[in-house]
Amino acid sequence: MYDNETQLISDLNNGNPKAFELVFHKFYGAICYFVQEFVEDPDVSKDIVSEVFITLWHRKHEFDNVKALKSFLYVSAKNGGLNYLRRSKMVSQHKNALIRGMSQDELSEAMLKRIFDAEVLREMHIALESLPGQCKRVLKMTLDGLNTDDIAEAMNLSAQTVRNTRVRAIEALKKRLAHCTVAVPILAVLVEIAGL
Amino acid sequence: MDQLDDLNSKELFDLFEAARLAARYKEGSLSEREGMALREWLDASPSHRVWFEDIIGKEDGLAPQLETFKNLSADSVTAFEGVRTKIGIETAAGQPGIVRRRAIVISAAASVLLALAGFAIYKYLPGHQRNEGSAPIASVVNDVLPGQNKATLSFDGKTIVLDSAHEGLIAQASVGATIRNAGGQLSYKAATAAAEVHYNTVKTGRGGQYKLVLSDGTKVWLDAGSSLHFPTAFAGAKREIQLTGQAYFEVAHHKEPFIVHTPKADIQDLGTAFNINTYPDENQGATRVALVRGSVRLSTPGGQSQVMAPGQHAQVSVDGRLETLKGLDMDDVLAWKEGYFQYSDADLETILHGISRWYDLDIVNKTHITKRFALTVPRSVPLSVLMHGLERTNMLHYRIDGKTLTVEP
Repeated sequence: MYDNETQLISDLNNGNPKAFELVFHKFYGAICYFVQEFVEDPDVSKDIVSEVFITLWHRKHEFDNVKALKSFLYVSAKNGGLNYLRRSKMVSQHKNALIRGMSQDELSEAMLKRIFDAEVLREMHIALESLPGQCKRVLKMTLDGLNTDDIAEAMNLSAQTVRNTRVRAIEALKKRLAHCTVAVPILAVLVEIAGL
Repeated sequence: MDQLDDLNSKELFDLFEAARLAARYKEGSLSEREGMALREWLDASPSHRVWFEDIIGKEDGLAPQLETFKNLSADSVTAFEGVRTKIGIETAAGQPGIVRRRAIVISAAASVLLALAGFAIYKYLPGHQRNEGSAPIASVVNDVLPGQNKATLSFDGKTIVLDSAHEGLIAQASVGATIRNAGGQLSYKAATAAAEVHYNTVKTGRGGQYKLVLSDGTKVWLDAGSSLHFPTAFAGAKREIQLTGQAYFEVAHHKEPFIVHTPKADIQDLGTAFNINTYPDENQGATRVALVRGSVRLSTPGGQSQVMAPGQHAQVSVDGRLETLKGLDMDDVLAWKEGYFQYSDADLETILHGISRWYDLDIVNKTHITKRFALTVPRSVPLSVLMHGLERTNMLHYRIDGKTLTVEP
């Protein structure tokens, strides 16, 4: 529906609830990941992130592009998190002291790195989710022991045809599996355990 | 000064772009120009290079972080509900696009990917010894063909077979709707002002499956061993149908609520897509509902009810208890509709029941296997291919005698 981010932002500016929902789902995970770096309690960080999005809704007309919107989310989340740490006596002494002991620059540095990590993961997660069922299935089929001849039979190909296209297939597969970067290393480990 | 307070900070904007490029780099899909831009950012500050190497250069990929991220993202559905009510907005249900697009991608890419993936991954795996000169497996003499689009349609005491031999127009408007059968799909188009309500029953036996489009536009995928009882045209304040077995619904959005009655539970749709499983030989006979999108209300005869959120799985157990379920894979639940058997973690009995229904066989299980299986196989394969996969676990053997599949240690 929203191939165009510009359209999404514009609809959000106009108060379209569906656009807000899509923005929410798009960035919730990344903002949570960011906040959990310094607010370790998962329930508290979820509350902080929800508050951030509520504020986003109240200021929905202020953003004219995705980058400004993301900046707002991260900055608000940072402030929300730090406020919580300052106020709360329940925070684990270790993390609190660590953060209090940081200089302004060190804190900024740590935050920026965490934003970088969150954004990299967010981008990769989208790529993985775009073919999730298929990636999982392809890998599972192999783990569950379908060999060339079984595949050939299932696909109505001759085993020779299957062998002939092997080189091209490996190249294409590497490219395809690049999106499944998670799965390939896991696959290697699982294969060893399964003794295939 | 804390750069992190400036909303339009160039540092932050560049960071976003660099993260996007870093992800593309990790996936191997970075263009020449993008590569240069990324290098520029890396050179701009020593910290940049440290951050980049820290997240990209990990030996085991990013598996743990991606897993954490995936779990956090999955929480966004329930979190949004909380935010939505606090703000006081309504979001329209039944948005098309995302789920359907994925389904299209899967079916188009499936045959290519499967052919490429199977043996190529085998070559790819470390430590895997493949005997290049091995002879092809002798074809099984008593192989069993998989199920297909086949069902019966009953009305007014008559029963006709729905298959490729009986395509075309089945009934005229006098029964409330024109009914057309083509390509494994039975479609109903409501006629104007029908005098009385006519009910039809579509039944799939073992080895059958069928798709229906009801007169209100609702799509139903019916699995093997199932039946659907419904009016040819909906009238009145509610749209009600009866289901036994398993079906996947994409309900058309109308004013009148859509209710599915099953032997042990009622499922009321509020504009959605969901899967219902009432097979008595699965899940200890519980009726299971998995909601893909939108909203449904699941009710028991005893008066309990629950509104489900997308991504949720819930069930009504045999003794009438309603419970939400965790740890279920939506892809597993919907796989049958996409043309696959997919089990992430199932016991042998469950798998054998699925085989019985799809391949139209009686099962004799002489094993005492309690171990659980992960299995993914297209539903279109002959039985031998599937059983081959199971045999490779070295835990069982099988044989086929007529209509009986025997599985033994």
